[in-house]
Amino acid sequence: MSLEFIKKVSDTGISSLVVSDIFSADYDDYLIQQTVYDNASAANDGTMRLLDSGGTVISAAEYYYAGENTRIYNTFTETNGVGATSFGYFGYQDASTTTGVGLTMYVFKPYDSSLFTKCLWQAQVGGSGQARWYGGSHKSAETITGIQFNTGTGTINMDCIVYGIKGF
Amino acid sequence: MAGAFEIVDEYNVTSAVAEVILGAGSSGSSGLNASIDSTYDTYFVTGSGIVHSSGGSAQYCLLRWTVGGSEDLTANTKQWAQRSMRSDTTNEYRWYTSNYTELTLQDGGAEAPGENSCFYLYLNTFPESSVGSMITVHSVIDQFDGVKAHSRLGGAGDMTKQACDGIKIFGNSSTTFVSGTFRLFGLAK
Repeated sequence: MSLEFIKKVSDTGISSLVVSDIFSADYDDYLIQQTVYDNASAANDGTMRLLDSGGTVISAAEYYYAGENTRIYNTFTETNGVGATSFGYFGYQDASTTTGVGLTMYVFKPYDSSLFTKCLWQAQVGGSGQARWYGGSHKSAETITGIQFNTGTGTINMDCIVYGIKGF
Repeated sequence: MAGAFEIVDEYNVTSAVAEVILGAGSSGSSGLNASIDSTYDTYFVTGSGIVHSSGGSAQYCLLRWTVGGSEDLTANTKQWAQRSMRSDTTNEYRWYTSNYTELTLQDGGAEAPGENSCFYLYLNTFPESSVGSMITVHSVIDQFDGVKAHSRLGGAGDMTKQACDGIKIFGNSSTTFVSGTFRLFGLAK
Protein backbone atom coordinates (compact mmCIF):
# COMPACT_ATOMS: atom_id res chain seq x y z
CA MET A 1 0.00 0.00 0.00
CA SER A 2 1.44 3.35 -0.98
CA LEU A 3 -0.98 5.84 0.55
CA GLU A 4 -1.05 5.27 4.30
CA PHE A 5 -3.28 6.92 6.86
CA ILE A 6 -1.33 8.70 9.60
CA LYS A 7 -3.68 10.80 11.67
CA LYS A 8 -7.02 12.64 11.81
CA VAL A 9 -7.47 15.60 14.12
CA SER A 10 -10.61 17.68 14.60
CA ASP A 11 -11.94 20.20 17.07
CA THR A 12 -14.68 22.80 17.47
CA GLY A 13 -14.73 26.43 18.49
CA ILE A 14 -11.01 26.91 17.98
CA SER A 15 -8.81 29.64 16.52
CA SER A 16 -6.08 27.21 15.52
CA LEU A 17 -5.63 23.49 14.97
CA VAL A 18 -2.22 21.98 15.68
CA VAL A 19 -1.49 18.69 13.90
CA SER A 20 1.74 17.49 15.46
CA ASP A 21 4.10 14.55 14.90
CA ILE A 22 2.80 13.70 11.44
CA PHE A 23 6.02 13.99 9.43
CA SER A 24 8.80 11.47 9.92
CA ALA A 25 11.53 9.57 8.14
CA ASP A 26 8.93 6.96 7.17
CA TYR A 27 7.74 9.02 4.18
CA ASP A 28 9.14 11.66 1.83
CA ASP A 29 5.85 13.23 0.77
CA TYR A 30 2.38 13.64 2.26
CA LEU A 31 -1.23 14.18 1.26
CA ILE A 32 -3.41 16.25 3.59
CA GLN A 33 -7.17 16.76 3.43
CA GLN A 34 -9.49 19.16 5.21
CA THR A 35 -13.25 18.72 5.02
CA VAL A 36 -14.54 20.83 7.94
CA TYR A 37 -14.07 24.60 8.16
CA ASP A 38 -17.43 25.65 9.54
CA ASN A 39 -19.52 27.63 11.98
CA ALA A 40 -17.10 30.55 12.25
CA SER A 41 -17.62 33.19 14.91
CA ALA A 42 -16.63 35.77 12.32
CA ALA A 43 -15.75 35.78 8.64
CA ASN A 44 -12.13 34.70 8.33
CA ASP A 45 -9.42 33.73 5.89
CA GLY A 46 -7.37 30.73 6.99
CA THR A 47 -3.59 30.43 7.07
CA MET A 48 -1.14 27.61 7.76
CA ARG A 49 2.22 27.39 9.55
CA LEU A 50 4.74 24.60 10.01
CA LEU A 51 6.04 23.05 13.23
CA ASP A 52 9.78 22.67 13.77
CA SER A 53 11.62 19.62 15.08
CA GLY A 54 10.58 20.44 18.64
CA GLY A 55 6.94 20.90 17.72
CA THR A 56 7.09 24.68 18.01
CA VAL A 57 5.05 26.73 15.55
CA ILE A 58 7.30 28.60 13.11
CA SER A 59 6.14 32.20 12.88
CA ALA A 60 9.28 33.71 11.35
CA ALA A 61 9.04 35.60 8.04
CA GLU A 62 10.09 32.54 6.02
CA TYR A 63 6.98 31.72 3.99
CA TYR A 64 6.88 32.42 0.24
CA TYR A 65 3.88 31.50 -1.87
CA ALA A 66 1.89 32.34 -4.98
CA GLY A 67 -1.46 31.35 -6.40
CA GLU A 68 -4.83 32.25 -7.81
CA ASN A 69 -8.41 32.46 -6.61
CA THR A 70 -11.14 31.39 -9.05
CA ARG A 71 -14.32 33.13 -7.95
CA ILE A 72 -17.97 32.78 -8.90
CA TYR A 73 -18.84 36.42 -8.34
CA ASN A 74 -16.06 38.44 -9.91
CA THR A 75 -12.89 38.29 -11.92
CA PHE A 76 -10.28 35.80 -10.80
CA THR A 77 -7.55 37.20 -8.59
CA GLU A 78 -3.92 36.35 -7.88
CA THR A 79 -2.22 36.76 -4.52
CA ASN A 80 1.18 36.00 -3.11
CA GLY A 81 3.42 36.26 -0.09
CA VAL A 82 7.11 37.15 0.17
CA GLY A 83 8.73 36.69 3.54
CA ALA A 84 5.31 36.21 5.12
CA THR A 85 4.82 34.80 8.60
CA SER A 86 2.52 32.03 7.31
CA PHE A 87 1.23 30.46 4.11
CA GLY A 88 -2.01 32.20 3.20
CA TYR A 89 -5.25 31.41 1.41
CA PHE A 90 -6.47 28.16 2.92
CA GLY A 91 -10.08 27.82 4.13
CA TYR A 92 -12.42 30.81 4.00
CA GLN A 93 -15.71 30.89 5.82
CA ASP A 94 -18.46 33.37 6.55
CA ALA A 95 -19.81 33.84 10.06
CA SER A 96 -22.19 31.19 11.38
CA THR A 97 -22.11 29.22 8.16
CA THR A 98 -21.76 25.48 7.69
CA THR A 99 -20.82 24.37 4.21
CA GLY A 100 -17.71 22.23 4.61
CA VAL A 101 -14.52 22.78 2.65
CA GLY A 102 -12.64 20.70 0.13
CA LEU A 103 -8.95 21.26 0.75
CA THR A 104 -6.19 19.07 -0.67
CA MET A 105 -2.53 19.76 0.11
CA TYR A 106 0.67 17.96 -0.81
CA VAL A 107 3.73 18.47 1.42
CA PHE A 108 7.11 17.51 -0.01
CA LYS A 109 10.09 16.29 2.04
CA PRO A 110 9.27 18.19 5.24
CA TYR A 111 11.42 15.91 7.37
CA ASP A 112 14.58 16.51 5.30
CA SER A 113 16.60 19.06 7.25
CA SER A 114 18.64 20.00 4.17
CA LEU A 115 15.70 21.19 2.06
CA PHE A 116 13.11 23.97 2.05
CA THR A 117 9.74 22.30 2.64
CA LYS A 118 7.33 22.69 -0.26
CA CYS A 119 3.53 22.74 -0.21
CA LEU A 120 0.95 22.64 -2.99
CA TRP A 121 -2.65 23.25 -1.99
CA GLN A 122 -5.99 23.66 -3.68
CA ALA A 123 -9.40 24.19 -2.13
CA GLN A 124 -13.02 24.89 -2.84
CA VAL A 125 -13.80 27.03 0.18
CA GLY A 126 -17.16 27.36 1.87
CA GLY A 127 -17.39 31.12 2.09
CA SER A 128 -17.12 33.70 -0.64
CA GLY A 129 -17.73 31.28 -3.52
CA GLN A 130 -14.22 30.57 -4.64
CA ALA A 131 -11.55 27.97 -5.22
CA ARG A 132 -7.85 28.44 -4.50
CA TRP A 133 -4.74 27.10 -6.22
CA TYR A 134 -1.38 27.70 -4.54
CA GLY A 135 2.22 26.68 -4.18
CA GLY A 136 4.62 27.70 -1.46
CA SER A 137 8.13 27.27 -0.09
CA HIS A 138 9.23 27.57 3.52
CA LYS A 139 12.67 29.05 2.98
CA SER A 140 14.47 27.68 5.98
CA ALA A 141 16.21 24.33 5.68
CA GLU A 142 15.13 22.45 8.80
CA THR A 143 13.18 19.42 9.96
CA ILE A 144 9.41 19.97 9.92
CA THR A 145 7.23 17.70 12.05
CA GLY A 146 3.71 19.09 11.74
CA ILE A 147 1.38 21.90 10.73
CA GLN A 148 -0.95 24.43 12.31
CA PHE A 149 -4.09 25.83 10.68
CA ASN A 150 -5.20 29.28 11.85
CA THR A 151 -8.40 31.26 11.35
CA GLY A 152 -6.86 34.71 11.63
CA THR A 153 -10.10 35.98 13.15
CA GLY A 154 -12.40 34.32 15.66
CA THR A 155 -13.10 30.64 16.13
CA ILE A 156 -14.26 27.83 13.88
CA ASN A 157 -14.68 24.05 13.63
CA MET A 158 -11.81 22.35 11.79
CA ASP A 159 -10.46 18.95 10.86
CA CYS A 160 -7.33 17.61 9.20
CA ILE A 161 -6.57 14.16 7.77
CA VAL A 162 -2.97 13.20 6.99
CA TYR A 163 -1.64 10.44 4.72
CA GLY A 164 1.91 9.39 3.93
CA ILE A 165 2.84 8.67 0.33
CA LYS A 166 4.98 5.55 0.51
CA GLY A 167 7.51 4.40 -2.02
CA PHE A 168 9.33 1.10 -2.15
CA MET B 1 -7.38 -5.15 0.38
CA ALA B 2 -4.71 -3.40 -1.63
CA GLY B 3 -4.20 0.31 -1.23
CA ALA B 4 -5.60 2.91 -3.58
CA PHE B 5 -2.15 4.12 -4.63
CA GLU B 6 0.18 1.32 -5.65
CA ILE B 7 3.86 2.02 -6.24
CA VAL B 8 4.94 1.04 -9.75
CA ASP B 9 8.36 2.61 -10.24
CA GLU B 10 10.80 4.76 -8.30
CA TYR B 11 14.16 6.41 -8.82
CA ASN B 12 16.16 8.29 -6.21
CA VAL B 13 18.96 10.45 -7.60
CA THR B 14 22.14 9.82 -5.61
CA SER B 15 24.64 10.93 -8.25
CA ALA B 16 24.15 13.36 -11.11
CA VAL B 17 21.97 12.14 -13.97
CA ALA B 18 20.79 13.89 -17.12
CA GLU B 19 17.36 12.29 -17.06
CA VAL B 20 15.01 10.14 -15.07
CA ILE B 21 12.70 7.73 -16.88
CA LEU B 22 9.73 6.28 -15.03
CA GLY B 23 8.07 3.28 -16.63
CA ALA B 24 9.19 2.60 -20.22
CA GLY B 25 10.14 -1.00 -19.44
CA SER B 26 13.85 -1.79 -19.70
CA SER B 27 14.56 1.85 -20.63
CA GLY B 28 13.49 2.98 -17.18
CA SER B 29 16.01 4.48 -14.77
CA SER B 30 15.21 2.16 -11.88
CA GLY B 31 15.98 -1.15 -13.51
CA LEU B 32 12.64 -2.46 -12.29
CA ASN B 33 11.45 -2.96 -15.87
CA ALA B 34 8.15 -1.27 -15.03
CA SER B 35 5.78 0.13 -17.63
CA ILE B 36 2.65 2.21 -17.76
CA ASP B 37 0.04 -0.20 -19.05
CA SER B 38 -3.63 -1.10 -18.68
CA THR B 39 -3.16 -2.40 -15.14
CA TYR B 40 -4.29 1.07 -14.10
CA ASP B 41 -6.42 3.72 -15.78
CA THR B 42 -4.78 6.60 -13.93
CA TYR B 43 -1.21 7.06 -12.77
CA PHE B 44 0.11 9.50 -10.18
CA VAL B 45 3.66 10.86 -10.19
CA THR B 46 5.63 12.70 -7.52
CA GLY B 47 8.95 14.48 -7.88
CA SER B 48 10.44 16.04 -4.76
CA GLY B 49 13.69 17.53 -3.56
CA ILE B 50 14.84 18.14 -7.14
CA VAL B 51 18.05 20.15 -7.53
CA HIS B 52 19.67 20.99 -10.86
CA SER B 53 23.42 20.97 -11.33
CA SER B 54 24.65 24.16 -12.93
CA GLY B 55 24.14 27.44 -11.15
CA GLY B 56 23.05 30.87 -12.17
CA SER B 57 20.88 30.35 -15.20
CA ALA B 58 17.33 29.27 -15.77
CA GLN B 59 16.88 25.51 -15.84
CA TYR B 60 13.64 23.98 -16.96
CA CYS B 61 12.49 20.63 -15.74
CA LEU B 62 10.84 19.11 -18.80
CA LEU B 63 8.86 15.98 -19.59
CA ARG B 64 8.57 13.82 -22.68
CA TRP B 65 6.25 10.89 -23.33
CA THR B 66 7.82 7.52 -24.09
CA VAL B 67 6.48 5.05 -26.63
CA GLY B 68 7.81 1.52 -26.69
CA GLY B 69 10.56 2.54 -24.28
CA SER B 70 11.82 5.48 -26.39
CA GLU B 71 11.08 9.15 -25.99
CA ASP B 72 8.67 10.47 -28.61
CA LEU B 73 10.47 13.31 -30.38
CA THR B 74 7.75 13.94 -32.93
CA ALA B 75 7.46 17.69 -33.31
CA ASN B 76 4.33 19.69 -32.62
CA THR B 77 2.17 16.87 -31.32
CA LYS B 78 2.36 17.80 -27.63
CA GLN B 79 0.22 20.68 -26.44
CA TRP B 80 0.53 22.30 -23.04
CA ALA B 81 -0.76 25.39 -21.26
CA GLN B 82 -0.03 26.39 -17.69
CA ARG B 83 -0.41 29.29 -15.31
CA SER B 84 2.91 30.34 -13.81
CA MET B 85 2.16 31.79 -10.39
CA ARG B 86 4.91 33.93 -8.88
CA SER B 87 5.46 35.28 -5.39
CA ASP B 88 7.45 38.28 -6.55
CA THR B 89 5.53 39.58 -9.54
CA THR B 90 2.34 39.11 -11.53
CA ASN B 91 1.44 35.67 -12.78
CA GLU B 92 1.91 34.73 -16.40
CA TYR B 93 0.62 32.27 -18.97
CA ARG B 94 2.95 29.60 -20.36
CA TRP B 95 1.96 27.52 -23.38
CA TYR B 96 3.46 25.88 -26.42
CA THR B 97 3.10 23.16 -28.99
CA SER B 98 6.23 21.04 -29.02
CA ASN B 99 7.49 17.54 -28.21
CA TYR B 100 7.70 18.10 -24.46
CA THR B 101 6.02 19.99 -21.63
CA GLU B 102 7.51 22.20 -18.96
CA LEU B 103 7.09 21.14 -15.35
CA THR B 104 9.20 23.67 -13.45
CA LEU B 105 11.60 26.54 -14.07
CA GLN B 106 14.27 26.72 -11.38
CA ASP B 107 17.54 28.55 -11.15
CA GLY B 108 20.34 26.14 -12.00
CA GLY B 109 21.79 24.68 -8.86
CA ALA B 110 20.72 25.63 -5.37
CA GLU B 111 21.90 29.21 -5.03
CA ALA B 112 20.87 29.05 -1.43
CA PRO B 113 21.22 25.74 0.41
CA GLY B 114 17.83 24.11 0.62
CA GLU B 115 16.41 25.32 -2.70
CA ASN B 116 14.63 22.62 -4.69
CA SER B 117 11.54 21.96 -6.75
CA CYS B 118 8.65 19.53 -6.40
CA PHE B 119 5.65 18.45 -8.42
CA TYR B 120 2.82 16.01 -8.70
CA LEU B 121 1.23 14.82 -11.92
CA TYR B 122 -1.79 12.77 -12.85
CA LEU B 123 -1.43 10.72 -16.03
CA ASN B 124 -4.55 9.57 -17.86
CA THR B 125 -5.23 7.51 -20.98
CA PHE B 126 -1.56 6.67 -21.43
CA PRO B 127 -2.05 2.97 -22.23
CA GLU B 128 -4.84 3.55 -24.75
CA SER B 129 -3.83 3.56 -28.41
CA SER B 130 -7.09 5.08 -29.64
CA VAL B 131 -6.69 8.42 -27.87
CA GLY B 132 -3.98 10.82 -26.73
CA SER B 133 -2.11 10.77 -23.38
CA MET B 134 -3.01 13.48 -20.89
CA ILE B 135 -1.23 15.01 -17.90
CA THR B 136 -2.24 17.52 -15.23
CA VAL B 137 0.59 19.45 -13.58
CA HIS B 138 1.00 21.24 -10.25
CA SER B 139 4.51 22.21 -9.18
CA VAL B 140 6.39 24.52 -6.83
CA ILE B 141 9.87 25.91 -7.30
CA ASP B 142 12.48 27.99 -5.48
CA GLN B 143 13.40 30.53 -8.10
CA PHE B 144 16.47 32.73 -8.22
CA ASP B 145 18.42 34.12 -5.33
CA GLY B 146 16.39 32.56 -2.58
CA VAL B 147 13.68 35.19 -2.51
CA LYS B 148 11.08 33.80 -4.88
CA ALA B 149 8.67 30.89 -4.95
CA HIS B 150 6.91 30.03 -8.17
CA SER B 151 4.20 27.49 -8.90
CA ARG B 152 2.86 25.96 -12.10
CA LEU B 153 -0.71 24.78 -12.61
CA GLY B 154 -2.10 23.39 -15.83
CA GLY B 155 -1.95 20.49 -18.20
CA ALA B 156 -0.29 18.87 -21.16
CA GLY B 157 -1.33 16.36 -23.75
CA ASP B 158 0.24 14.15 -26.36
CA MET B 159 -2.41 14.46 -29.06
CA THR B 160 -1.13 11.49 -31.03
CA LYS B 161 -3.39 8.45 -30.79
CA GLN B 162 -0.82 6.04 -29.41
CA ALA B 163 -0.05 4.05 -26.29
CA CYS B 164 2.60 5.68 -24.07
CA ASP B 165 4.45 3.47 -21.61
CA GLY B 166 6.39 6.00 -19.53
CA ILE B 167 7.69 9.50 -19.03
CA LYS B 168 11.15 11.00 -19.31
CA ILE B 169 11.97 13.90 -17.00
CA PHE B 170 15.01 15.95 -17.90
CA GLY B 171 16.56 19.39 -17.71
CA ASN B 172 17.08 21.78 -20.57
CA SER B 173 20.53 22.61 -21.89
CA SER B 174 23.27 20.49 -20.32
CA THR B 175 21.96 20.49 -16.78
CA THR B 176 21.78 17.36 -14.69
CA PHE B 177 19.80 16.45 -11.61
CA VAL B 178 22.03 16.12 -8.57
CA SER B 179 19.24 15.09 -6.22
CA GLY B 180 15.57 14.26 -6.29
CA THR B 181 13.10 11.46 -5.67
CA PHE B 182 10.77 10.42 -8.49
CA ARG B 183 7.91 7.97 -8.05
CA LEU B 184 5.21 6.49 -10.28
CA PHE B 185 2.03 5.12 -8.70
CA GLY B 186 -0.99 3.38 -10.18
CA LEU B 187 -4.47 4.16 -8.86
CA ALA B 188 -6.17 0.85 -8.16
CA LYS B 189 -9.33 0.11 -10.08
